[in-house]
Amino acid sequence: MLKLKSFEHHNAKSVNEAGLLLAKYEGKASVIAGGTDLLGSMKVGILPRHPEALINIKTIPGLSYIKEEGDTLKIGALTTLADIAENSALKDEYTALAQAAALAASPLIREMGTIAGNICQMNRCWYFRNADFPCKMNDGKMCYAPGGDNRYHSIFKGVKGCFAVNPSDTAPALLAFDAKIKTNKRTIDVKDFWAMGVSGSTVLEVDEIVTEIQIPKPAAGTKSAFLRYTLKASIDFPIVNCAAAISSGDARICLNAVHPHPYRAYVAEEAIKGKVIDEASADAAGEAAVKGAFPLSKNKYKVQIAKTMVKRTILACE
Amino acid sequence: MADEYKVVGKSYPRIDGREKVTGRAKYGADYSVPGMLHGKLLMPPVAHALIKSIDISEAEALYGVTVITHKDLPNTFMYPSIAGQPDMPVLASDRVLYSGDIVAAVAAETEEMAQEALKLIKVEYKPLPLVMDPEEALQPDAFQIHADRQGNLVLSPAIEEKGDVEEGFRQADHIIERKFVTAQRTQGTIEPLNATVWWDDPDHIVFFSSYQSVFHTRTELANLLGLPATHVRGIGGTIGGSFGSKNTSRAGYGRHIAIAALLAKKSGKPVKVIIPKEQSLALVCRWPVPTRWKVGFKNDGTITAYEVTTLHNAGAYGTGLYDEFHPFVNECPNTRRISKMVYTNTAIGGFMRAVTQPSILYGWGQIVDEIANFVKKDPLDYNIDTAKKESNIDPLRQAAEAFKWKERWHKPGAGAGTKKRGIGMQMAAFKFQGGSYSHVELAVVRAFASGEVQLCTAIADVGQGTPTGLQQMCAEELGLPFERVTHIYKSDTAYSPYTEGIMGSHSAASYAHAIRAACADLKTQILDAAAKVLQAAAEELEIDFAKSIVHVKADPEKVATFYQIFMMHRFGFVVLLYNIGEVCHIEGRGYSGSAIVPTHDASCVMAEVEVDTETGDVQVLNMITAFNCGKAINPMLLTSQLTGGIIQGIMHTRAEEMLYDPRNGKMINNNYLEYKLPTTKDIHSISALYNEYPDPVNPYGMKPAAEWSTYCTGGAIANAIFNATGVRVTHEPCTPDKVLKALEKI
Repeated sequence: MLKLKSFEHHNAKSVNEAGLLLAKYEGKASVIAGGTDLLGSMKVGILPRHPEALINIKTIPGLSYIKEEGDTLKIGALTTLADIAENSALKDEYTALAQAAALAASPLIREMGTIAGNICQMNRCWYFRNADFPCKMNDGKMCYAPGGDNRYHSIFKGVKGCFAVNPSDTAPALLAFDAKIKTNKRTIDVKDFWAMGVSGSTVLEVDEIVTEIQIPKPAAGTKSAFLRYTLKASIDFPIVNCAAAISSGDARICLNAVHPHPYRAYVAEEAIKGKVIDEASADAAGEAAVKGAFPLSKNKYKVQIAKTMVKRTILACE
Repeated sequence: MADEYKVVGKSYPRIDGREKVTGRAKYGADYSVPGMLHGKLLMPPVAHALIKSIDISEAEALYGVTVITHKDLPNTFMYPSIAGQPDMPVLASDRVLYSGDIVAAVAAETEEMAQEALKLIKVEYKPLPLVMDPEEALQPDAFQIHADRQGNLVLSPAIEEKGDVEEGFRQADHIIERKFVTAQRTQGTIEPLNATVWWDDPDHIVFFSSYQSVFHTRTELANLLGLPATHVRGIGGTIGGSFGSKNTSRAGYGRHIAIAALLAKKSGKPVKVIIPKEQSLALVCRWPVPTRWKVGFKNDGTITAYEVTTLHNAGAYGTGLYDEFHPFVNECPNTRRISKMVYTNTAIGGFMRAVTQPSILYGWGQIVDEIANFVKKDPLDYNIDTAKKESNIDPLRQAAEAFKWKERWHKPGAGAGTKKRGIGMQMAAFKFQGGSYSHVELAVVRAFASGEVQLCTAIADVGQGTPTGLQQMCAEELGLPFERVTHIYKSDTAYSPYTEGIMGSHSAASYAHAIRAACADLKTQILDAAAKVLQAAAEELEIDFAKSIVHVKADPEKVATFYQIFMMHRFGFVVLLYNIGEVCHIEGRGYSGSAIVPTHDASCVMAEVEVDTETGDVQVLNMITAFNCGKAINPMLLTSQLTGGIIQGIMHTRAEEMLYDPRNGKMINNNYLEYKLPTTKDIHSISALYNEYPDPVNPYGMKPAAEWSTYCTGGAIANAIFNATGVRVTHEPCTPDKVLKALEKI
């Protein structure tokens, strides 16, 4: 591993202070909580603007919690993936989210990594994350994916000419539950939260921090599930993952690692809505989910896996 | 046989275990010397290019920064090559041939400074056409990587013919032609390549590095620097994994030692170089070997002839070594083997557990399976029929019984549902060729008057546990309990007994000869001195190491203590002295000699897989290996070696491969996130069985064992996939894209 370049480090005492510090650095600072994604990116030197400062928000009290208030489940930004995975209320009622948190990364990273970090993590592309390939997202000119080895890239075209994928495991679960992301400045509907950009994967402004995830109570009888396909059984990013939440009248299905943003499979949702869940209906929904797929030269297999993940996730909601 | 030995043949925990698991072991990166600088290497952004210019002026202008390029080298070339004329430079001068070439190196007070200085070196490249695929390299219009090597061939093709191949094909009822491809794989060590070097004076240099053979590495460094070997001192550290990558400094593994030496000379300070994984993963690899087969067989499955062309991808330079032998069990009278070794702009084909054999067996194993299935025979029966020798069949029967092969085997593709299970097997047997040349090892055994015994060797432990086995041998020879022997095995070319280094699974057998000789030497010296003390003939005496005495066989009451004997040995008379300490010991020395007779061995691997026909996922649920070894010196360590080989083989077959970008030839997955090493969750059930077939010559009847289980894993897994699904995956690794394609799902 390469050595880290130097940077300033601030321990924020409150969300307000963290916001002010971020504003002061005008985009040249990064928020650090678990650090599991950020430090790796900084070490290999792929952040186009290496942060001048890190604003540590772990020092802000009261940001780690899982609680129900009225009809809303609230998860503090600093809640670790391990805490989410082990929470019995989540396991029962928000199964897909607990399962996603339990399968992400490795036990050590789940103890460090936070829910907010997991949804804000940078997109994955082995060209983008390799200093030998100055790609257009990293101060270079070209995108290496279309003419190169794109086996792990987007199967639903690119965004701004970039084919890197959003690898978050919890993001599709939050989309399936129609969550809201509360920041120090506003509350963002989860479906509007991601936007592939040069220095991040979200719509967050330079001085904006995720403070809470809010999930409306699912309709009675809702069942949810999460599945992922990886080459290795641990410490691996998904080739495809999928979350679904299905109730008698509604269905939300979201894929990830197939597009620069988490990918709501609206067509699949329509296909399964109101239907009896069985092999045939789930299979049809899987087919529908990948209808718009536009695979690159080496990732056609991901379409087949995505289709299967949708089918199996729906069946797991039965 | 069970009672023949008291210490050999028992399972003792490894003697290096405690130091490693408590974090006390000192690896290469842990080593530091006062005032040392940190070195970094500049590798090119393209794999194949002419170097138009190198401008180091800005980097050199930095305070405390030392820069070297090829101009600082005493000579241009260094490493011996299979091609005859050396073809690999330490530092590239006018061109780069792969992404692991080194263009310049810097040393600075901190790693950060060195890294910044690297960025200031301006190199102008003119890219040349990339030749990444070994088959493309052979095309007439392929770019010539080395101008003086026609057709990109490192050597002229080797052809070995037996019987009458054409006649064999005429006798065949069926002829099949198949191609198999194995992937290029990195050794996958945790510890990075490392070296810390300093000059004692202008003519004497010391290096610290974790290597399988510091003596070899010392000699290679001396040759490069134009120094006598005695002016170079090499110190070996604890090795954090090698699998061949720390074999010697050949094949591109050791340029950083020479570079550290030159940086240290130029700066006048010690220099430490650690090659980060981003760079080191792309340096040297297991040879990827595409093989093309033409095989003729009769309706009953009898193989009448085969012709195989193996294409060894040497990478950019011919500095690696490979074995080309075919450990096939299934007999065939007419064979033609054509072996080509070809240059490409990829990582250098080098040392790795079992070198090229798994690549060749991967194809053969599937061909045997295909023929068995074609003639409607259970592959187990077919292999038993064709394996002929009883000793070959033993592991098959043993594995088959434990694996319940007969109950589990079904017709290919017969499983229902989307998750299909199947089983497959492969076997191999050969005379252990590596044994036909000897390794020179020196063992020193010291017995002290206090009763302590010290075994001194320079054996390197790359995880195989040999230091523990050697301690057992020494205890056995002297009739002592295991704990009474202390084994000191740190390697230092200035002080340690000589070792040729560990490779080819020779060490334990070679050292067994050396230890036996050293113990015999020790005993002779003790008896000679005791004879003088007891005034009896040496033949009349018996040594009791446990009690530290010698007594007269016929009169056990007549005893001389080691103290008396050792004084006699040292001074010629016995006198009582206090604080005599270290003087009071006898040292026996023994060389391994020259004979390790090749022995015939057989092994087989059986695998059970589950193939997800909708995702292309392959899980290896069960694996079993059975193996004819010699005497198992330490059954626990033997089983651990066999299991380790299987673990490595599973991920080689499932996921590991080095990938390059087609435009600049750089490795894309040069980190352990994208290069898929196994985690414990990827490994399911593995069992390792063995039969002891004692070797007639080696002490205790022991034979090499460390590389066997890697041989047949690829073929066994591929055959299990066929049994599960009815389709064959002929290219490793069997990632979902290939499996889904074979299943015609995409």
